Amino acid sequence: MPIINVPHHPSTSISSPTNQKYHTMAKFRLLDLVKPFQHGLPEIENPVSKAHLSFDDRMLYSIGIAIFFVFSQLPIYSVTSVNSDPFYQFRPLFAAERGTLDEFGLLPIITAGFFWQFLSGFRLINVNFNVKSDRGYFQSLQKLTAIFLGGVYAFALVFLTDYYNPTSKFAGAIDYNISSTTADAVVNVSSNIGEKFLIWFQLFVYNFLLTMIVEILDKDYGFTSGSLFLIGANVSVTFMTGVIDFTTIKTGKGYEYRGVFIQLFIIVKNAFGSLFSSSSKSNFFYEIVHLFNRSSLVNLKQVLFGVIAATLLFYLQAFHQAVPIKSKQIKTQAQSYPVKLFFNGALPIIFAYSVLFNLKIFSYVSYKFLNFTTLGSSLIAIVIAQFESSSSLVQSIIKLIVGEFSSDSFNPTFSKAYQTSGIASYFQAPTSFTGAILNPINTVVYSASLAGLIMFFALSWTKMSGSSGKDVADFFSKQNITILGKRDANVAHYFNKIINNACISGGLILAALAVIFDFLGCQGLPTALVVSILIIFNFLESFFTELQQSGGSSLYNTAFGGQDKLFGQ
Amino acid sequence: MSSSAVPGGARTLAKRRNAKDKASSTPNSARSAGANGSSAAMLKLFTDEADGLNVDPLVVLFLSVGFIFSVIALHVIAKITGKLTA
Repeated sequence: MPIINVPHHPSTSISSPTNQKYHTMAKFRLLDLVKPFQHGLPEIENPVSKAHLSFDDRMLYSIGIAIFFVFSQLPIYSVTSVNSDPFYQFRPLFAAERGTLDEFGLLPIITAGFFWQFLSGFRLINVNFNVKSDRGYFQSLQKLTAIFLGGVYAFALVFLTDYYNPTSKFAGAIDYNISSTTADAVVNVSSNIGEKFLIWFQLFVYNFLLTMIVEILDKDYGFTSGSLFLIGANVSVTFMTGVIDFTTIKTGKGYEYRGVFIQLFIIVKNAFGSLFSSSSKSNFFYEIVHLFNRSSLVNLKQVLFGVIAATLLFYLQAFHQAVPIKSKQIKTQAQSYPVKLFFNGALPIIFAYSVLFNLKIFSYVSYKFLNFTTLGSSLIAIVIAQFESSSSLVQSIIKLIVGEFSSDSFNPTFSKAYQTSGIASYFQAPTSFTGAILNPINTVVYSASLAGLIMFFALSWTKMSGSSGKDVADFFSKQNITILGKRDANVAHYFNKIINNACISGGLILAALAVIFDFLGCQGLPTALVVSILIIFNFLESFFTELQQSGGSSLYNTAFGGQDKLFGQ
Repeated sequence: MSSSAVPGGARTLAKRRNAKDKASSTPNSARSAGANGSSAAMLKLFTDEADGLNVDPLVVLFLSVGFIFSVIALHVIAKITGKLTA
């Protein structure tokens, strides 16, 4: 990846008069909004220098934060039970665990980042990135938005819906048994403002701390992007616990092992046992089919497709187009500059899913708010009173826009809410293969929107992340490098073509994988695995670059290097 | 007559081209300005030094661990008092 250290146009650097004019312009900029908040906003200190922070330190920060993140997914205090889950599809990818402090996971941070970086990328807001203070304001704007969005999402879910069932008093009534049917725990939802505020407060503070932690990793204390690192860590843990976990949980069927392979082993063992004894009978095929399709825990289907996806990704991620390059000054052999097939890594899927997740939150909250709270239903009554002659029309319009959710009637601990009507329901992934065939409009709209979002991202992101063909060509001309057999004037055009092709084809492959896994009813887990594998390859790339640059001074280097390093000296 | 330029023609085209070049050459992200921001495959939000309340990363980590432990403590206290009263 080219790192361009010199601003394109020295004339627009900090001291130039044009910039002074730019700054004192009376025109109001959106960036000015953040100025009053900036001095109160916590800011992680940059490491004094890169040399100051050793490789081992960065390793410790990364591992420590990953462990902290995985362990911090504990249930919210003063929540008795959680209503059926409308966000099941997005949970693995955004590290959003139901009913825990991580209810939205990294969604607020990622949404804030994409939102502002797209706005500035399309030049819809006025930011002068050549000026250091402007970059600072832009960063504070993103941070403020991430913290604010976390608060807004939590507020919407806690106060506007009946998603959480809070305890009726502060201590005592919390039901810790995960398998309870919670029939006796239903409390009057509207009355306990104190408990609701406590839930909101926990979600808000956790999101605030998570934002700061992402900032630590973003600022060279880690190896790669903080949000992506946390996604990768979480998906790895979720997948491994889904495969191998010895704990049992009571689901609708009885006690089951969380780990798919453990449960499979038990089923096979029981089947063998029943072969040799006449008394015990095991329904082998029923058990296997159930293990394939169980919706409460990670199922065999998800694991199988996850493994297929992982194998495919291991194969595909090495695909690249090698561009032969050569120095203009020194006579050397031509070297190759690789342009990867997955040029944008996992970002296209994360972008598309973050848009759909936000849409889902919006429709769920508005549905619950309008139908299940006194304020919302009185709002509807006011609107209907305005158009007295056609109240049924108003009601059907509201239904079309807001939609309806219905939850499946399984064990309430694991039940999920599906959108059954409204425009937004077409943007919901089909729940199964038969569902995808029986509801073709939904299938077409969903896959078209997912592919469209991914294409939109792939085509626009390179231009706004300093990695378009023009940027690469600028970098090459500064380093006195040319492409073999191309004139200098054509380099930018040539790279634009290659990079665009890579972005589009890589994006289409990711879109196809995501859509196929959704149609097979995998509920997002294999897609999340695809994303995390791409993230981890990116991570390893920068990790090993750093490892080599640290030049063997690291403890880990000696550990990885093997015997010749330990005994060779 | 000669003081004001005739509208249109080659000069206007050149001016337009210049304006277009200028607009497309001002960076639209931190990384294209030469700083350390989001790259092609990486979403980075916080890479610059803004002036704010400077905090050491270890302080944030200890605060987060403290927060998690306070939530755990609340759960434990609730469970113990629940056992005692029930």
